[in-house]
Amino acid sequence: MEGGQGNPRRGVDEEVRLHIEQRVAQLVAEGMNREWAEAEAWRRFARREETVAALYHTARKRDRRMRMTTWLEGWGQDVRHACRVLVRAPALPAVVVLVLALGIGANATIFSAAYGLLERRLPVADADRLARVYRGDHSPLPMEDYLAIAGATETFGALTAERMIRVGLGAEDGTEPVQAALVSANYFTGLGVAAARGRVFAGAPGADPGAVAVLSHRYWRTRFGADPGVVGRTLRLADRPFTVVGVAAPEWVSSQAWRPDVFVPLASHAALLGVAPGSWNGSLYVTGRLAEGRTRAQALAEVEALAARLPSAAAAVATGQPVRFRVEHARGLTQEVRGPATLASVFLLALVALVLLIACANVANLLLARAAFRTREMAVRLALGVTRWRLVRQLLTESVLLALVAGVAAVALAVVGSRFLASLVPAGMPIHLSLTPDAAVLAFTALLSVATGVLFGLVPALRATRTDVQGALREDARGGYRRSRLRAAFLVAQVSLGTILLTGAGLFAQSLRNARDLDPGFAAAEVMDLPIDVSLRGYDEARGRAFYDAVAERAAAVAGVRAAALANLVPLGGANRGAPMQPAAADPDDRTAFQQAYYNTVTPGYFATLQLPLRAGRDFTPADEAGAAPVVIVNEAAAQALWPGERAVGQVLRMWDEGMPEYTVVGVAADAVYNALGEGPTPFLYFPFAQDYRTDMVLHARVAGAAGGRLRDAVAALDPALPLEAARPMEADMGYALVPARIGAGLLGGFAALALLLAAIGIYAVTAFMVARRTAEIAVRTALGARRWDVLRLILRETLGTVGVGLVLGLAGGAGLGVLVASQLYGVDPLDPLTFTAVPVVLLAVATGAVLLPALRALALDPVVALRRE
Amino acid sequence: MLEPLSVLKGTLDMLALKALTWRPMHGFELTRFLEERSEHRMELEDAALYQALYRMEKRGLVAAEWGVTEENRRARFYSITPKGQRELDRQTAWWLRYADTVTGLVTESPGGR
Repeated sequence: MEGGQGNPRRGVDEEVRLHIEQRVAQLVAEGMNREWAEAEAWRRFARREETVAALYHTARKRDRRMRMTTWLEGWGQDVRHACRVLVRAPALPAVVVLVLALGIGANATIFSAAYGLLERRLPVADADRLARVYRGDHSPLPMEDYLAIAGATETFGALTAERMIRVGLGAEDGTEPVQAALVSANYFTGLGVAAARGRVFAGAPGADPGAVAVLSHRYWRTRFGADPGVVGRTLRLADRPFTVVGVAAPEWVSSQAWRPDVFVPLASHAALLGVAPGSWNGSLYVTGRLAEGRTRAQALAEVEALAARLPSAAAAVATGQPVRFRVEHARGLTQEVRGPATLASVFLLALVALVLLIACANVANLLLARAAFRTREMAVRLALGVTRWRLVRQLLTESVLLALVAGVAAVALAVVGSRFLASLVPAGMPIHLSLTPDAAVLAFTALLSVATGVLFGLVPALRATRTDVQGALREDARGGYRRSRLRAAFLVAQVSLGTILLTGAGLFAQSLRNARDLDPGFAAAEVMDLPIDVSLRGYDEARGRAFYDAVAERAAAVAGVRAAALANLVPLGGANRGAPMQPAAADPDDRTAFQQAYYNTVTPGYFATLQLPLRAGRDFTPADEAGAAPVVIVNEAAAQALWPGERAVGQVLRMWDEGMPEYTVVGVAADAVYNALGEGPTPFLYFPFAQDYRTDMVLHARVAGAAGGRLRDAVAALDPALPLEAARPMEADMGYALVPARIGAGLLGGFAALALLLAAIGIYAVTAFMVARRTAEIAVRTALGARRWDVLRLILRETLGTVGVGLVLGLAGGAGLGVLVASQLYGVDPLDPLTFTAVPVVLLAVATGAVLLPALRALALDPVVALRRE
Repeated sequence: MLEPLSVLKGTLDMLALKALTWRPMHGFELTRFLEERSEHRMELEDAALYQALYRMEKRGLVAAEWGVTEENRRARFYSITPKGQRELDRQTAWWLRYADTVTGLVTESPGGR
């Protein structure tokens, strides 16, 4: 130990004093008189003040450095000691690492997904300068708005646009659908996306670089086998030749959450879609790179100023409602889907935090158990003069080390977990979610691991070192057993948290089952769907109309088909169209007189095919043709909303749309379910296909038996080159509406299973520990003639009592959770009797198993052997 | 009697390190050791020696520990560390080369031998 520490000055003073005294003594011994000797000693020491000050300074610095070194060496020792301790008895550390890896891994997975959904930047240089531009709340921009703004902007170095369309790709054997991104000519150069092969196209935003295409790296690999010779080849898209000029950089997917196969210039849209530029009201998703030194606020001001000069804006300004814009960070998901994603992320993060808390309680309990075995080690070291803080630090080093090892495993789990999450997105959806862990996730996991290590390690460490030294040394470990209230508390905590999760999972599973059994208001069973999209073949409107008329006619004639009709959208199919409407009698300038309605476009026979009853009026007929008076069929909710208490048929309604068109109601259909399960009464309108042409339609056919194949053949015969998927049951299409619920129930179920597993491990470990400490007692009891059942009952009672307390608390918490999420549950009472019966049964069964396993093993021991072993 | 030699700048560290290779010593002991070994031909500045010791301690060339002298006084005993030993070897080698060169230069007479 370094003496004289604390104040370095005292050490210096003492040293100098000794030196002078000894020098004086020496000089006196040599015959000098004492007074002279003292003067001579100080003379030889020279520049006294200055020297002492310099010595003080050096000593201070030296002490600081030595403290640091000692501290670091201490940590080194702690880590080495921790490694030795953990390796010496690896069983418990292995269980701890496993438990923590599951807990931390669940967190890393969800964090990784949430970060990917909400925060991840686009994979280009300087991505923080990218911003997205929206019109209105979070709508894409009409093409003319985009072109006008992109051509004039100065706050953006480049303003790019992207929009997904489906087109047919001509191949040797027919046509296959591909996802094409229509992108502005400055898309690649403006965002900073390089070509992995060949080149990208470039030019002013609206420029036409010709019939060229850039392949996405993924499509190049999967469809063309990464063929280096693909550049220069010609692709037939919508029956028109496009030259492949390059392959995009491997990391680039899209400026949005899409997964395009090819990128084609925006100027090609007319050729690809088969409609004149003016009639295509498709909007564009706009992403720009801010010019050096410009802010999003400046960009917004500029965009709004530019937009105010647009012809389309003039009308809006006249009505006193100028169009607003938004300029927002280009990170994570686009704003329109951000809200639900944020909510889901927060909910899931809270959920996995709960799982990690269970894991921590579990591990803390295991360590407490071990601490009891190490009481003597601690007592010996305390007796040897090691400070308690030092021991706590060393135990914490052990737990943080364990947590870090678990963290490494957790990252591996997160990689697997995020793949699983990404796989929950239905394969058919051309959506790209980048959920894979990256540096941010690694940092999060490391931080979480250290925090976890301290969290679960602190209480056991404090407990282990709070030893009555003499008592522990004197007492034999066996006699030291006291029922630990702390250990029971941890067990209660994990059982109750696990119960809450199980209850939640049960409620959501019930909800999902109810949703599946729900009556949508029409008879979907026996209806087959066949999606058709004539834009894949670049049909113009006249050809498209003729084609769909032929489809309806042929489909009805297919053997086994009892009724057939076409519709633009499938109810609960995941897509919707909506616009505000009002009675024609109301004031069109009064925005408040409009209310939101959703609509679909259908052909005559739609209601009969789906067996969706018409309550009044008539179905569409061939007489409702393009030039005839515009007609509409409304549902009961719309009739009630527009003309309460009146007869709806014969009334006229007005849509908030270009030209404020008016439609006469010819029929009233029964209410059905349209956008989401459990939605309230939703005003819904049906327009006749003949008066509202659409390029993509779904053929619904009510069939007897397996007519699906014949249906597809009949349509294929009309145009063999048109890409067609297989016909499928309508109920499968309706499943899209269930995707969020299914993902939610799946995740909750997974985490609940994890919590149950953790609780089982915890109960097992605590019981095993307790039984091990009482082997002798059990042996004595058995030897004295106690029946095995009596001993078993004793053990069961002790542990299951604790489990019971946790269960009751957990059920109360679960009821609270149920009430909290009641609005998300479909047709399930938050206190659903089935869930609240099943959860305790499952939990008690698992707990009993976890207690019985170690208990029976202890009982199987020969009492003599057990006693001798002690 | 010849005028005492004042210690050349930079050589004090080397002398102190060398002395400590004999045994650990406290400050005054070290002063006396150097005075006696040099047969009082060298005049050390006591303050400079302490400053050198502190500096070298900070650099890890010597280590210090409180102990008790023969007269039962508390004193700080300095010892040379392995790092200090390496430094001493380096400085000694340098000094020998230096001294050799200087000696050669000043003893050479014009016109050679």
